[in-house]
Amino acid sequence: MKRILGVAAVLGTLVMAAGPAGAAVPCPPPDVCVGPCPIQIQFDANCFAFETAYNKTTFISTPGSQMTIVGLITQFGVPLNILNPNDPNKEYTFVMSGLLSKGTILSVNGPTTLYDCDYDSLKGATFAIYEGTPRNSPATAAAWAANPFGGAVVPANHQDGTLILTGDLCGFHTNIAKTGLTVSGSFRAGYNFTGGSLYNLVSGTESLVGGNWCANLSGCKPANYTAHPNGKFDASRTTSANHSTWGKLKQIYR
Amino acid sequence: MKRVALLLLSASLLAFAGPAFATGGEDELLISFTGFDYQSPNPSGTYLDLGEGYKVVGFVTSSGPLLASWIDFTSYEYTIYIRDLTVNGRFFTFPNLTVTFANNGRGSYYADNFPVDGGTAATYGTNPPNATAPSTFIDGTLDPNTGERVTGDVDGFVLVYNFSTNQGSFAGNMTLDGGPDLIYVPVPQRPGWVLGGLLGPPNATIPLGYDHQVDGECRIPGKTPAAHHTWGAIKALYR
Repeated sequence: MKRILGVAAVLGTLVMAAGPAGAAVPCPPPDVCVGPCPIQIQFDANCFAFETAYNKTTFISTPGSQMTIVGLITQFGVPLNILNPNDPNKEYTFVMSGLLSKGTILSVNGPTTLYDCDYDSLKGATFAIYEGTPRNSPATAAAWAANPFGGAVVPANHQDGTLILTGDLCGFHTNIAKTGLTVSGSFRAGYNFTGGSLYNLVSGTESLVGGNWCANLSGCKPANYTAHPNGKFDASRTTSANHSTWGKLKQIYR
Repeated sequence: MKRVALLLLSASLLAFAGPAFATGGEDELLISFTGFDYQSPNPSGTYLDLGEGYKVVGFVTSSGPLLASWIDFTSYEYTIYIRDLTVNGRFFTFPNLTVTFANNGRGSYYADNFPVDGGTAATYGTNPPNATAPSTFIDGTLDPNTGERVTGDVDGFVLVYNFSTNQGSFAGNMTLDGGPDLIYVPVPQRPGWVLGGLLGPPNATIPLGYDHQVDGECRIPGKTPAAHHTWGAIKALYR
């Protein structure tokens, strides 16, 4: 009886966990980070966004516009600090996709005009992180300017190599503020890891990805790119995991 | 006479011309950083009330091409400190806040090879200013390669925050004007910008007493295109 209950509980948990990807559920709150909460994954200058229906002058994203973000990782924190993003023979890149715009909403506060846009709050958005050899994604301003999104290099060279981590994005939101000639911006989303060859090193719990969103300066959106994100995936509570066998797993319920 | 007048006019224009703010070309990254912000001084219970101060401490995470040869993350800790920003305007209509600041704020980045240079590892602590912040972000001055490396004047700084989405941003004009590594930044590229994204609660990474997580960049104008010419060609301009 104990075994049956145990198996039933496991099956129930699996069914609950494997809900439909597009289920209309709110984003779960970020996980409680216990102890030091280092940067898990940092990306800086070499990260750009591209949208299929976006006006770079007015900052307006048309509903249904599809956004993709590609980037080169510059730092890994615990427990991913076994990876060296400065390895001359390897690069670590990521692609965020499935970010479907709900349309930019304008509002005004005092001297500031605000441009807010939600992108897919229903977990249809995902990200993937790759370890590739050799280093072949753009890493200089000139290389980005020469390689627009949709060309031979971007996003192709960001998604070659070994898929080391995948995950969901939830509640991706951008906020651009224009006060006089001064323009600033930010982005924020929840994320959780779902797979990849290094999935056993990271927890599947929810945390934040976000940072600066440069939408104005000329050099921060070269070629046909629409914005330049600079930010990080925060570490959440890490859950230790061990490799096991089906035999050992069955043993738990005997 | 006409030549002399033209020469005098040209000379006077050159003398009065400040560094070009924008070259018309693309801007470029100077440094990227991540950290946390706080209010100081903070006498009012209202967030960034008139007269209050705003500060950011954090770490440099990468550099652009101009400083790449002079930054060594394996041997040094690199930190940033933005300060001397005083609120002079505040506009709040829930959920949006806009705060403007008086000119002459400062922003700097620092190098520290503790403990050799007398510095210590940068530590946020809680409820800043405290015993470690900002002090451990700006210490380490015994080694000539450490301490404040590049500093600049921040004008036109504006911060916006949305209390519903719990995110915001800041931006300001930042003119680089000091520090031993300023020599690596050509004069026309020194008037740049400081930009940052803010992520507020719920955000478990924010230490107690800090307000937001900050991710940002200092950006500068790109190189101005130059062409080789002879003295003869230059003289011809004034004949």
